Amino acid sequence: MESRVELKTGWMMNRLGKSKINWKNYERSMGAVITVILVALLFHYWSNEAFLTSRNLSNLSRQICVNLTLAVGMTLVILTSGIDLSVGSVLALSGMVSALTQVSLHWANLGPYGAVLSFLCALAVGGLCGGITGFSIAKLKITPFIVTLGMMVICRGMTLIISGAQAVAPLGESLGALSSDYLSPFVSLILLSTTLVATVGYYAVGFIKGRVLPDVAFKNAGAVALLSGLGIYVFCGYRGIPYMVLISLLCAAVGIFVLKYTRYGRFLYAIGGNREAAELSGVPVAKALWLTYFLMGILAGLAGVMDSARVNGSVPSAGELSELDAIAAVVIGGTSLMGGVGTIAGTVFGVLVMGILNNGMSLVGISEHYQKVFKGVVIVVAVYLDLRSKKK
Amino acid sequence: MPSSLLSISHVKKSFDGIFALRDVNFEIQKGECVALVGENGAGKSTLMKILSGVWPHGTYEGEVVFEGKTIRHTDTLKARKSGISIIHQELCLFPKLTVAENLFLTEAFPYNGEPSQKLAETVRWETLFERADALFKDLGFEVDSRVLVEDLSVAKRQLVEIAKAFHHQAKLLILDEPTSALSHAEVRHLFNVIQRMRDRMTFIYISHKLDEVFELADRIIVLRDGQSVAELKKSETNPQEIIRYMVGRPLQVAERVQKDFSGSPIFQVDDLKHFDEQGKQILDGVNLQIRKGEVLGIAGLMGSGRSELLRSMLGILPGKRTGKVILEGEEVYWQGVKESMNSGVAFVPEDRKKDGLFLNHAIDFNLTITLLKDLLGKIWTLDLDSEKKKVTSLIRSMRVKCGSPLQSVKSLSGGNQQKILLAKMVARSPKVLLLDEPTRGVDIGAKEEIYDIIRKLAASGMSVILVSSELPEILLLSDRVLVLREGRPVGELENISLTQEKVMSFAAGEYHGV
Repeated sequence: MESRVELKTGWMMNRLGKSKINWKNYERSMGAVITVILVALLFHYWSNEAFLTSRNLSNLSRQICVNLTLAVGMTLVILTSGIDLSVGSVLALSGMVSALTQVSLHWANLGPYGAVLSFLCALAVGGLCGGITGFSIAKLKITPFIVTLGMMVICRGMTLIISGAQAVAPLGESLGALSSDYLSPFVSLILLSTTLVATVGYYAVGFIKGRVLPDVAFKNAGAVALLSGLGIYVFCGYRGIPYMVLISLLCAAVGIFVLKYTRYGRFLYAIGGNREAAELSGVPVAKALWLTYFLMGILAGLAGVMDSARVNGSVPSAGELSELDAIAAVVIGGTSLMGGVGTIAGTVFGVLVMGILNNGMSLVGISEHYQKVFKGVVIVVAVYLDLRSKKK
Repeated sequence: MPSSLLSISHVKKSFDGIFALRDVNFEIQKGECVALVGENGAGKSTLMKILSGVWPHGTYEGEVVFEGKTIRHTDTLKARKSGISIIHQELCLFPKLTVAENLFLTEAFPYNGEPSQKLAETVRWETLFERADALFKDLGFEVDSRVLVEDLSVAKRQLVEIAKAFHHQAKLLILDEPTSALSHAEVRHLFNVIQRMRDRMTFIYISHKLDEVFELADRIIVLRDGQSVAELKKSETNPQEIIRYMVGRPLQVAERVQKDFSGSPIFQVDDLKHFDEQGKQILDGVNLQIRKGEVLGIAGLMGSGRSELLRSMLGILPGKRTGKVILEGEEVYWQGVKESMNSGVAFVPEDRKKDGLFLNHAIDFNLTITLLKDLLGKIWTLDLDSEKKKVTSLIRSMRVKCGSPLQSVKSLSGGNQQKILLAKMVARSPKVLLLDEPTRGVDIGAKEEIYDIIRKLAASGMSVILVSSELPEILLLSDRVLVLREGRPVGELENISLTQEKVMSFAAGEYHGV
C-alpha cells in the first residue's frame, strides 16, 4: 500500500514541476551552451566581427555537415559500446565511386538522373562496407576495434586502387548542386519558422497538460527555439538552407526519432548498458548490431558523396582522420564510450563545438598546426568537465 | 584457553541491515583438522572472508583471536602474513606463469630470499626453480616447478596452493570445497597430503560432502543462518545428526494447498545431457515434466548443475547438448532467450546485476525492454503513453517501492531490484517461467512478497521451474522437487510431508553412497 502512495506522489511531483531528478542535466547543458556562446562571441570580436555574420555561419554549416552525418551514425555505434574506425575510409571509397561514375562512366551527362544514380551508388558502397563490418562483429564476434581497423585500411587501399591514386574531377553540375545549391530563403523561412512554432507549441501544450516533464519541455523547446532562431538569422540572411545541411539535419532528426520511438533504439541502449542482460531479456543483439554498422556504413556513404560534391571531385586521401572528428563530436556530446548512455542532440552540440572551433580559429588566423593542438586539448578538457559534472 | 590457535567469539556481520553472521563462536586447537559445514547462505564464506582479511577489522562485530592476539587485518596481505591462508574453490594462480613463479612472485625477494631493490633485475630462473624443487621435496609433493600452471590438473594446482601457503608460513590453512573438481583418486591423494601435513599446520575444511567430512575431520562445526549451532566430535555424532543441525531452522508454516495435476505435461525434458567446451559432462540424463500451474523445485548442492540445467534448456550454456526439450508436445531448439520467450518460456537469471538488469537505466526502461513488441503503435513506433501505463501497472502489481519510474534501478534496494527483474520477465505472461535463485540477497520482507507473487503466478496457470539453494524456499513453493547431484537426477519427490533432511540426504549423496 505504501508503494502505491509513493508512486502517486512521484507522478504528482512531475506534474507540479517539482521533480528534482533532471534539473541537474538541464543546468549542465545550459552551462555548456553558454560556454559555446561566449567562445563564439570571442571569435566574433577577435575576427573583426566576421565570425557571427550570416555568410560565415552559413559556410560553417556546410563545413560541419559531413561530420554531422558521420557523428549521427557514430552515436548509434558508440551507444552499443562499439566503435567504427573505418568511416573515414568508407567515406573516401564511396565518394570516389560516385566521382568515378560521374567521370569515367560519364553519368555526369545524364543530368539529374545521373546524379541520383551516383548518389545511390555511394550509399550502396557504404552500405556494403557497413554490412560486412556488421557481419564480422555481430556474427563472427570479432571486436569492433579490430574489424573496423581492418576495414579502414582495406577501404583506403580500395580507394587508391580504383582511382589509380589520382584525383577524379569534375563532377556533373547536378551532383555538384548537392553542395552548391540552396533552398530558397523564402522556403527556408517557412520551414524554420514552422519547426519553431510546432515544437514550442507541442512542448507548451505538453507542459500545461502535464504529459511532459517540465525540465524536458524547457530543455527541448529551448534547444529547438535557439537552433531554428539561429537558422533563420543565418540561412535567410544568406541564400537559404544549403541542401547538404538539410540532408544532414534530416539524418540527425531521424536518428533522434529512432532512438526515442523505436524498438531498435531501445535495443541500442540495452546492448550498451548490459549486453549479457540484453541477451537474456530477449533482445536480438546480433541483429541490432548488424543493423547499426550497416546504417553507419550508409551514413558514411552519404557523407562520402557530400564530401565529393563539396570539393566537386574526389581525392584518394578524402576523409582522413574524419572518424576521429566524428568520435570526438560524439564524446563531447556526452555519449559514454562504455555504451548505453548518450543522445543525438548531444552529438549535434558536439559537432557544432568542433565546427565553431575549426572555423573560428581559421578566421582569426591561427595556423592549422596550432589548431590541431588546441582541438586536441579541447576534446580532452570537454570530456573531463562532463565527467566531473556527472559525478557531482 | 591459552592453547587454542584460533578463537572466534560473538562475530556478527551484516550487509545493508541483513545479517550474514549473527553470532559465531568456536575455538580451534593447534594441529586440529576441523570441518565447517552448513547450507548455502549459512555464512561460511562470510566467515572465511573475515579470517582472510577481505572484510577488514572494524567492518564486523565481535572478536577473532589468533595465537593469543586479536587480529586486526586491514587487508588480505596482512592476514596471510599473520599465518592464515585460504585456498578458494576457484584457485588464485596465474595460469600463464610457471609453478615456480607462482610460488615466489608475489613475495618481495623472489631470488634466494635476498633483498634486491632493483626493479629491473633479470629473472634468475635456475635459483627460482631450485627453490621451488626444494620446497616440493620438503613437502613430498610431486610437482614439476617448470611447467605452466595452466597445464597442471586441478589437483596439482591445489598442491601448488598448499605449498605456497606453507612457504608463507601459514599456521592455519582453510580449504574451501577443495574436492568439488577432483576425481576419486585425486581426493584420496589430497587427503593423504592433509593427513601428513597435520603436524605442521592446522586445517579448516569446508565441504558439503559429509562422507569426506567424516573421514577427514576431528571435529565438525555446523553453521546455520549465520550462527554456530553445533560443535561435535566426529566420534560422537553421525551424518543424520549433522544434517539435522544444518537444516534445523523451524519451517515456515506451509500453507501449500495440495493440488491435483492431471493432463499431459506442458513442458518436458527428455534425457538431457550436456558437455562443456572441454568435453566434460555437466549434466547427465535429466528428465523432467511439468504441468499447467505446477511448481517444480530443483534442489541440489553447489555445483550440482541446477542453474546449468536451466541454461542448457534455453540453449545459452556453452558446449554441446543432447536430448529433447519439448514444449506443448513439440520439440523446441532454442538458441537463446529471445526464441524461448517467443514460444512462451521466460527465464529469470540468478545474478540480477550481471545478467538481469540495466542498472544505470531507469525503471521504466528495464521493465519494458522485454515487451516492446506489444507497445508498438502506428507505423512501427513505440507508443510511449501506453508504455507509461504498462509501467505503472507493473510497478503496482509487483509492489515495487520507488519514487518515480524514471529513477535508476541502481538506486533501488535488492528486493525491489529483484521485483523489477521478475516483473519484466513475466510481463508478457509466459506459459512457463524458469526462476534461478529468485530471492538471492533479498531481505525477509521482500522474500515473502516474492513468494506471494510466485504463488499467484502459479495459481493463474503459469508453470514454474524454481531453482534455489535454499531448501525452505523449495519446500514452501514447490509441488514436486527434483534433486540433482553432480549433474544427475538422484530423486524426484512429491512435496507431501517432505522434509529438508530428506532432500538434503539425496543431495549430499547419503542415499546413493559414494
